[in-house]
Amino acid sequence: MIPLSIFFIIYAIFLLIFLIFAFFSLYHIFKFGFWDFFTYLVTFIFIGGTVIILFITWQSARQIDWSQSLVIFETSQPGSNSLDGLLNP
Amino acid sequence: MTLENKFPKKAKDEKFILILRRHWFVFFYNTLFYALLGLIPVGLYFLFKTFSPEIFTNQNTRALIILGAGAYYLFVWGFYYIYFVNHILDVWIVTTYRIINIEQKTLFARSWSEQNLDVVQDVTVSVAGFFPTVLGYGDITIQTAGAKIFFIFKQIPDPYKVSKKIIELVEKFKHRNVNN
Repeated sequence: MIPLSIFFIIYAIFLLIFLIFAFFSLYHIFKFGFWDFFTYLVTFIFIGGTVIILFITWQSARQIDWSQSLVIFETSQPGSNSLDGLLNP
Repeated sequence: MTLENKFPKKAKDEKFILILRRHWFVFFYNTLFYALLGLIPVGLYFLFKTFSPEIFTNQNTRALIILGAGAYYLFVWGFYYIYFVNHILDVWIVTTYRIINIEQKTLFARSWSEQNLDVVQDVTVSVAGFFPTVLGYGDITIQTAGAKIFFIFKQIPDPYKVSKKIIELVEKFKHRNVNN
């Protein structure tokens, strides 16, 4: 049994890494870039796109009951297979 | 930040003649690649919806799909922006006095080199491939007698015109130095 919240923590770690890389990318653009319309536009789209991805993920994730567990192996039930836990919680 | 602030002029009469970046098609081509990466989950969605629709109704698999798709799109989006940063920060500048080569090699590797025009020995243009030939972009290799032997202007538009301009500026620079 694996608590679903573990996957949320893994996602949060991934998000943290993404934010670090995004920070360094923006830092480089602000420090070394020539600010023309194209740079403004792509940077604006990047920030907007990031917010949209996070918002959609959040909206979808809040419908899930993260207190549940994911059953991968059910050895007590004869005839069960490894996908039963995924498909029949 | 203006160009003059970033590159303090060596002399009062120094002028920025060429400010070069990679051809727009190079950016477009890579954008297309990242767009295709973004379409992979959409393809998988339709595939699973057709052959195994129950995974979208089960809460456990739904949870994994939501977090997996969210992480995947952040991954693609983040790498696309890193690509953009590397693309936009590669700049080659030719002034009436010098050549400046600025390259953002990776997110944490940046190089900057410059040489006076009088050390330029040879300018070579290379246009190779279908798209570079059709759209008119390519590399210019400038051989110098300085510490950095080669300056390579990568995938720049109108490389023949640019090489002519560089040779013209080198001649003018050398002529001016002889007269002074």
